[in-house]
Amino acid sequence: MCHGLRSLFFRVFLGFWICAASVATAQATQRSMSVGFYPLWENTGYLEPHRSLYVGTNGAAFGWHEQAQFGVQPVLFFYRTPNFQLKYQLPEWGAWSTSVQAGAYYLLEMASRAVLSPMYSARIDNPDYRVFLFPVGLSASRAVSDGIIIHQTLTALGLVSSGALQDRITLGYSAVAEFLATDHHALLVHLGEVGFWSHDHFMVGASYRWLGENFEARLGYFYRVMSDSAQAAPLIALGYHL
Amino acid sequence: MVIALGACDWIPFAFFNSIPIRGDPTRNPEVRVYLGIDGLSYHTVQDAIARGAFSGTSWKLAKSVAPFPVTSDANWTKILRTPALDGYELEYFDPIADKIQHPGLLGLARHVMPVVSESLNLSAPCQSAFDYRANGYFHGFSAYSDVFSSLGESLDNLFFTLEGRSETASVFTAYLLEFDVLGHMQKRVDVADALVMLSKKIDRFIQRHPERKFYFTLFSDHGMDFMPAPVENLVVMEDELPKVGVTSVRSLAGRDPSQGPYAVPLMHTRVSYISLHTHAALVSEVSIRASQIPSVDVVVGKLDAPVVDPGAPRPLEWFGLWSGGSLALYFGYDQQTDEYYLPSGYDYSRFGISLSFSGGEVFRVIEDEALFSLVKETRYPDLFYRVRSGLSAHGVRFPGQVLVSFKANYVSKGFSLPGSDKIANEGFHGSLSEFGTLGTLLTNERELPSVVRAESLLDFFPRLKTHLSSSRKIAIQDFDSKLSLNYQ
Repeated sequence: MCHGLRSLFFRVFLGFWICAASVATAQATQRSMSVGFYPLWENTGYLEPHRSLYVGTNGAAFGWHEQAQFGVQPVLFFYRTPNFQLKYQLPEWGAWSTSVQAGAYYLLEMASRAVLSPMYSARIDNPDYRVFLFPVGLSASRAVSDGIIIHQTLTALGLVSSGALQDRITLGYSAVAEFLATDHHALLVHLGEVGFWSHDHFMVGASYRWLGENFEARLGYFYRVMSDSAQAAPLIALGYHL
Repeated sequence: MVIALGACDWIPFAFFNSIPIRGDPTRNPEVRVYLGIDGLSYHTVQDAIARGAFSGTSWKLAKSVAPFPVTSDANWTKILRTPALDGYELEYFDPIADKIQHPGLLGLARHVMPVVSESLNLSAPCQSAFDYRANGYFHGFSAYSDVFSSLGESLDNLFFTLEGRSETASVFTAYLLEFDVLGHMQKRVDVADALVMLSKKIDRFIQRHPERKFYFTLFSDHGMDFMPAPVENLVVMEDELPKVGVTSVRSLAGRDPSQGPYAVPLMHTRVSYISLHTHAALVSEVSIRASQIPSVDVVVGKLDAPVVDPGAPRPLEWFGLWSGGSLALYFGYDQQTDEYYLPSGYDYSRFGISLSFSGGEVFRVIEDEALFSLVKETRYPDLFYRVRSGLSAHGVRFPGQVLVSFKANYVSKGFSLPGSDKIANEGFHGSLSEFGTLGTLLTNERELPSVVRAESLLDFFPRLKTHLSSSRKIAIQDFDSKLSLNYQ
């Protein structure tokens, strides 16, 4: 028996993206990522250029005078979670491009149950109370060599709820190594820790990024590992640079 | 389409599951976890216990007698009292439309099709009872293509979700599919191995969460007979019926019952029962003939009138059980008093029942509670209630008029796939016999009788009932006001 149709599916899916890339425009150049792939904990030290707009399922971001970036996670709006992010470029620190970002996510009642498919369940369940998340993060990115970029983000996530959850601040760290194979293809390795001394979970994943002239696609697979359980799931992002 | 779906649920799934949460243990110091485990046999649990699983005096195990016909969708519906299904399975006969609904491979494909949206959901409504029920779009595929890997992933996901939910919730419900798949496709020892693994995970989870008191209850929709059916024992009822003089048809309208017996067989899954629909006047004739099929053990159907009038104070419902081409037993039921009328002169030992009649006694009238005690551990557990309930509209709008229960090692072929028919042939459920009928009720929450009627679950665990109605928004049904027992 095959090792699972899921594996087959992802092989086919990956093949599709590679084929799509091969017929894409040759003029594309590798753009710096201004929006993290993994939600909440990942970010980069880069911003969108002045009056550039990136619209993607992992986030929408608008650059302003190379100094600021306004963003939202549009998909979460459909899941009863209005949100926005502000990002500000900090002075370079050696070879590191640095930025600070603050965001707000407002989980309305039943947000966690708003998934379309009942085949997905969330660990958080807020049927009758609201949750306010306000992450503040410091990000740094640099090219460590030709073709390798490192992104790091240190985040303090504040949580306030109107119900059963304890109000608290959780510290998290993420690191992403981006290996640029060509102007169009990159392999990314993701690591993250949430909670540290009050450990919640750590995250590990891998993803593929394809970049056309304007179109961008990412496909990844992530594990969230807790003390005695784990959860694995794919993640996808489609975006367009305007 | 897959891209669009991924862009939808994968993103919030990652987002919501990455939020670190803590609740206040003083608000929910006790958490009750109810695990609905598909196809978990009583005997498998005994195997696992013999190997050290669920050790300690706090665990109580009961045989859970599954409703007949012994099939998942209908049984979960009856056990959890969720809104009624149209038929026992996704494929069913609609007598109003006079056609088979969801015939062929659609019914089979439902088992592996991703549920992309509740509005496009082909799953039974009973699935809504579970806080956790699957680990993603491809869960069905992975469960049937690589069940061991799927089980590991399901258990990981289940406890990941539980770890978060228990921060705020007092009750958590989850569904595990893989034990049923293991039973159909692997060996009994493999299912016991899986159960030992689950037991260890439960123990570890409890140990690592001392801040709350956790109670776990495992319950199943049916058992598993672990009696492989060789390919030559895969029965195609459509072909068998004509051999005993019953015309196999796909609709009932426009047929004259005086021209000979006919029936619509429903055959979409590989289970050890078949339901037939026919003209009301043909139930006895079809039953007699179907019971002549060599692979058939017992056929049950409603009788129009008693063989002997018991002189009951009220009209009774009558049910017949046919075997080997003749009426092997029949009985009446008084809905008002919940009493069964059992006639003398029949061989009850054929069904493993020890019942003697005094001279001149024509009928023995036995109340449900007493009858359950008498037949709960026979070869056909809780026979009379299960026959009555299976032929009634309890949890299904259109029950079969004739239910065929196969002998051991025989099973309805159900479907054909390209290549070999040696698929899911290791174990079965569906028939009236104890094999496949005895499921599990295992808990460290409370004491249990040694044998329970599966539909009693919500009576034993009122907090589960409250959770289903208040949190899962289930409209709890009262399919049969007489099913409750006192278990004295």
